[in-house]
Amino acid sequence: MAIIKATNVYKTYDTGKIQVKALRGLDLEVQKGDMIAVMGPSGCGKTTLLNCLSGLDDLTDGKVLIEGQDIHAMKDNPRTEYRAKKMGFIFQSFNLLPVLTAVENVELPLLVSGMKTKEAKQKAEKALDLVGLMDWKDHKPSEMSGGQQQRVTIARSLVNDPTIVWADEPTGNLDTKNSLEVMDLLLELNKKNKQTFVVVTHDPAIGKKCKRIIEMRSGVIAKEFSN
Amino acid sequence: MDTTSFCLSFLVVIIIVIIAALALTNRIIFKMALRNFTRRKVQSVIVIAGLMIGTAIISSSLVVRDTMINTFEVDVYRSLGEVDEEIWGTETWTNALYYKYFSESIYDSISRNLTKLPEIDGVAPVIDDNGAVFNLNTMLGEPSAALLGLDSSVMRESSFGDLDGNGYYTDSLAEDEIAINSRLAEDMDASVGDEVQLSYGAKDPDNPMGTSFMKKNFTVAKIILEEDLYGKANYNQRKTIFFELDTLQNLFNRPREINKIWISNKGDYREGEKYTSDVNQTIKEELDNAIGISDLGLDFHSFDGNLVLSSTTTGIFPLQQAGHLLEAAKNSNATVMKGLMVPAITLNNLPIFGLNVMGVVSNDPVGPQIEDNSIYFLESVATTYGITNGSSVEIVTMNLEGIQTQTELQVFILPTEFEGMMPDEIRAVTLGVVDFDTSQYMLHGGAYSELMASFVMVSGLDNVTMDQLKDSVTEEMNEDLDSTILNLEVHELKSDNVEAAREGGEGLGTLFMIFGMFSIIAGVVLIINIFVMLSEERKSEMGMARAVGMKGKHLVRMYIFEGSLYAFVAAIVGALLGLFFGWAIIYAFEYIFQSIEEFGEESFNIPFYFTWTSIFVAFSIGLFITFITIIFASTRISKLNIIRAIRRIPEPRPPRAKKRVIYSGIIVVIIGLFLISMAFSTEDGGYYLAGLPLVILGFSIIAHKWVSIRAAMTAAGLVILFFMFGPIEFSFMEDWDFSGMTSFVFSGVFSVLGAILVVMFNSNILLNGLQKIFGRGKSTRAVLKTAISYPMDNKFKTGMTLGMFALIIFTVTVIAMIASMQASQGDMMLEQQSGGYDIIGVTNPRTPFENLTLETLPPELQNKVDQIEVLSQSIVTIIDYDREEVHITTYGQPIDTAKIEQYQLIGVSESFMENNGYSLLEWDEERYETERDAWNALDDNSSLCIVDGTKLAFSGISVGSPPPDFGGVYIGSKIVITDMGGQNRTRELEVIGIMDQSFFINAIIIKKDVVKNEYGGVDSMFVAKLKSGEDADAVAKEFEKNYLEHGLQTFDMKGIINTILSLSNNIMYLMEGFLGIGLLVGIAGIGIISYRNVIERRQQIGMLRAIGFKKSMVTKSFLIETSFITILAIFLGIILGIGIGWQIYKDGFQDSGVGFVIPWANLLIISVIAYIATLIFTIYPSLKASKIPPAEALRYIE
Repeated sequence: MAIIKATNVYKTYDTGKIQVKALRGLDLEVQKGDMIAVMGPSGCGKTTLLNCLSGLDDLTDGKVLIEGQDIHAMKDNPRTEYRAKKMGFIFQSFNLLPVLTAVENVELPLLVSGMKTKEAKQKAEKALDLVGLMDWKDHKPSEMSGGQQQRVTIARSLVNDPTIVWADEPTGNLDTKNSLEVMDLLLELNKKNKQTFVVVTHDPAIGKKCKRIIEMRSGVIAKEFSN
Repeated sequence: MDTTSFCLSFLVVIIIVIIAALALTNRIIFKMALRNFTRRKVQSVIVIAGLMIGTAIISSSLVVRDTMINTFEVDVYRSLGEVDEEIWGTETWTNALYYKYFSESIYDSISRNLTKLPEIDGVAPVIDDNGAVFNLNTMLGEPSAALLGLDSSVMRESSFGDLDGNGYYTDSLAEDEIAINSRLAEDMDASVGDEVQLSYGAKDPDNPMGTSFMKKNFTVAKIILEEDLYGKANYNQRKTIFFELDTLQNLFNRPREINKIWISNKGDYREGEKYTSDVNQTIKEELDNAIGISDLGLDFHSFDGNLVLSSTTTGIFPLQQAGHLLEAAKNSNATVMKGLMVPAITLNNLPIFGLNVMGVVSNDPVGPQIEDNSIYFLESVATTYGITNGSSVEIVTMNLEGIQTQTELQVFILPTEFEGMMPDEIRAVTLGVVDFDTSQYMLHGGAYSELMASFVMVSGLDNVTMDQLKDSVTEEMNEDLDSTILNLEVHELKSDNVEAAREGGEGLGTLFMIFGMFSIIAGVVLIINIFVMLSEERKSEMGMARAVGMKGKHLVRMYIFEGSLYAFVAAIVGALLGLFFGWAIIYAFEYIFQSIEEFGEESFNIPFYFTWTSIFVAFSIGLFITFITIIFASTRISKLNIIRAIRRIPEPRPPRAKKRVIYSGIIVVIIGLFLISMAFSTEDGGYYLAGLPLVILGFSIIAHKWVSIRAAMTAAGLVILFFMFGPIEFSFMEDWDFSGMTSFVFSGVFSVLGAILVVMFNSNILLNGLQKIFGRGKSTRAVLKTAISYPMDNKFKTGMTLGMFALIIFTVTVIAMIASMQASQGDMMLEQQSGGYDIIGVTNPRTPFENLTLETLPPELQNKVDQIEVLSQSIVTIIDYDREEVHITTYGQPIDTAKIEQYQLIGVSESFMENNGYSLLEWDEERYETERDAWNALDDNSSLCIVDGTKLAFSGISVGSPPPDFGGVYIGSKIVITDMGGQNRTRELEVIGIMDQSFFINAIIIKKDVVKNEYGGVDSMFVAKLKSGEDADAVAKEFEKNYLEHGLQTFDMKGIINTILSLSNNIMYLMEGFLGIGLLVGIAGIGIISYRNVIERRQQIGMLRAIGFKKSMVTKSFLIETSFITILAIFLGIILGIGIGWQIYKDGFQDSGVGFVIPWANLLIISVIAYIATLIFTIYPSLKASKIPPAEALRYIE
């Protein structure tokens, strides 16, 4: 059974003056444990697709089932709770809270889920250890390099043992060496934890590392490859 | 335009020119600034709202000033009308000051010359006196009505004009008619046609210095309405009776005498004042020229071919005034005889009437040679009284002030040849002849004084005739005389009053400005915060701009352009908003005054008034403050690392202080030391309170080189707080004044700074504590973490916000505490100020009580009065004091430089000493165990005195105890007093007590007998305690009615004190309300910060939403953050406020026995209002933010 099933998904941005059709009747299925790369030129709708599939953004039309549940049919609170428990997010610009240390950033999703502080901290440290940043746990984002920050983001995205990890240009702000390191880390985790990864990227080198590549053009899937 | 406005206009023009020039040469940067300004309209509005409040406070203070000046000025114009200057002098009559009468010929002479001047359009002779009036129809009266005599012919021809604007003049009154103003008519419920009885003092034909009390009935012929009298002769807005001048002169038995000259300058009643300085000198010269020997009451006449100079009015004159005659007589070898007639009242204890002891001395060797201490009786008198040659007699004589002297003299019988030389009219009133010196003693009672004479007779001249001598001496004397001899002065009445009005208004405006200072400081902090925030938010843009080639100075300019736009709009809006605040304050003022019965609704109107100059000044100051702050903030924020800015990475903190930081620490220390040195030179403790914290802070900045910033700043904060609140007092501070506004402002600012340093650099302790306490809930852990981490991460911004809000709460707390302590002082003050008495009564001293006791009261009063104490009054001057120990001051000035002030010498009876309830602030506790013992000591020792509370305070009735360390007299001070009548009745008094009241102003209280017997005191005052349940106001009126002829005026003491207390309390509440405007700064500040936080953190909100933050959690996070800052600020503000409040209590209230009051309810209300208002400001943006779909928030780029 597909863990993600999107059917005839439309997303239109209405800016008042013009309407931008970002997704135009897109269909997609992702199997559990898959690691797929969503590729395509700027403005083709990659990030929009990720946002719509993860429930961060609303659909204009269509349906998205995650583990068979219509995520867009949920109200905001259950949808948020679902995200907190089942999903992890990695963003291009890291999106760490600048006022928190690495470990505090990582433990935040656990605290949101109601975990006790001590337990959350232990788990967060474990996650940081997993991404090789144990020595940096008490540093704030501003004191770390881009690669390190992205590793913290990865640790944060995995700390709650999510079913699906959404990664939007996870290497977009990194140099080649760091990019490959981060990607290898994601692959390793995918292999180890059998978690599903949806990675939005425009970097073919990154795409190549994924099992499946979806290429988008103007809001629809233009091509699909398997590695 | 005054100098301030001119300088400010100049400054504003300079600013505009600089900005315009920069804008023209940096068009693209200006365009960017303009775009930023208009980019987010809501934000711009909020920023402007925050920036404008300081300007609004300045503007409102100036509007209050304008209104008050206008109100006072209008009052002056209303009172004085066309009168710009006045000529009058005063005379002391026993214990009160009166306008001295002088000859109308002085007016004739002055008027003739002055009316020729183009600047003067009216000179008028006036009598301004008073009397008691009683309406026989309504049985209502006024004990002290003004009696104004005007010369209609002069009024008609000069600018003074008519009385009612309708051609009414007093010459239309018949001899038995009067015109009254409506104020008086209302008081005695009088209508036209009513018959009234006037009691007044007329000149005694038998005793030129005496007064006979007369009564006469008049019919009210005209009532002149107040509004018609506006700008007319509604002089001082008193209750006035108008007469034609000669009617009043006849009534007073003073033909051709007046006691005032009115002068009107050209222009109407507003414009005239401008010419006062031009004409003042001319008027004075004319006045000096007009005065001749006849005005002294001196005249030459011939007697048996001899030239005699004598007094035509008082019977005696200072011998010094005969100086020219004596000189001329000496030059022509003439014989001179000087004589003095002293009225005798008893001879060997037998009363005698109409006989005088005549003292003579002559340079004629063949004249009578009279032994010292002897009296040469006229034979006929000796026979009548059975006095024999060689015996001794005891004679009591009395001078014009009524002071008696007893003298024992050896008796001789005057040889008949000498008696035969006396003119019959002299012989008829002479008891006997004594030596001239002896007669001086009999007049003055042994005290040194000016030599007086009744006549000086010159005979046997060489070279000149008597007429020639008379003419030349008269000419010399006239030339020599100036207005001081008559004590006449030119009073610049209107300009002085207008000046006082301006000072009064200025003072009130300044008071508001000082109280608003905290809000203005908070406003400056807010401006810095706003700009730092704007820069944070635009950091990446700025980095980008720098990357593409924009220099740091361009960024500064961009911010200055944008800031100037905010500053201009905010200054305009603020200045106009200040109009509204000003109106609200005036409205509240008017309401407070009108709600007090005694002032009445009609009599206390404060018409709202402002000048555009004030609005412009407020605009300019507001603009200037904002502009300077913006330049400072812009320079600071433009220094950025391009890459860190683009990537929004915070600037790293230097691990240890760099040289630059150390230098800045040294500069702070130097500034601090400079301020401390100012404290030494000015003795204003406020500078110390600013200087010391700066020194501490400066050293901490330097210490940062060796220790962590946290340790350095925490230590600085703690030491500052210790110095502010700890028991630190150095001996060199003893004389410093810590009660001024500078102390209040600086202690507030720096204690808040100390507290903020401690809190901000130890925030982790606070944070952990809060998390332990509140972080137990499932969802609250994450929310609390983010909510507290944000403010604690940006310590500068949070510190500024906390400081701004805490400062305002601090001020409001202190004022609320003072107001409560003052209010709770009420009952105690009532008792202290009234001495337990209900009514105080004061008579016209010319008509004192004769035998006022409980038993002699009319029966209807006897039933209501429980106790009555009659006090004697006289006027004295302090001429010397114990210089080594005492810095005696009159109204705060050393006595050496102060004008001679008059003090009331109040004589009290034994029963008053025993029964009065006036407590003593201090007394000689070593000698007297209790306050009562100190009071009773006055009876045993007539060289002891107790002084009133105002000797230590300023002037007037002051509410609150005078500060005990004020440099006035204190226990053990020796003061030397003398009478005002020139009789040199001096006496040294030792102060053994200081009263804890200020109802009797400038009073020196001693034993009654001394006041009456030695200082001519009369029983002109009483205090009465009523039986319980009696209405003090009603009984007071009944007293007035019964003693109307004495001109008795009574006051319900407790009523007056209550009025003053409630007025003072209400004004404190008004101040509290005014400071509430500062709360708006704080609330607006926190609102702006919350709004900006939401915008700044949109992306992060998106991320939080993505990882599982629900909408409500986002909102909660912001609300907790705001609450954290607000509650912490309220807490700090209140704690520090209570700390300063405690010091104020110790210095100003503890001694008066009031308990320390913390107005919790009041503070709670203020805190809750402030807290809720800030939450409201936060809820809207945070709700809005939480509603944005996470994807959109993540996408958000400004």
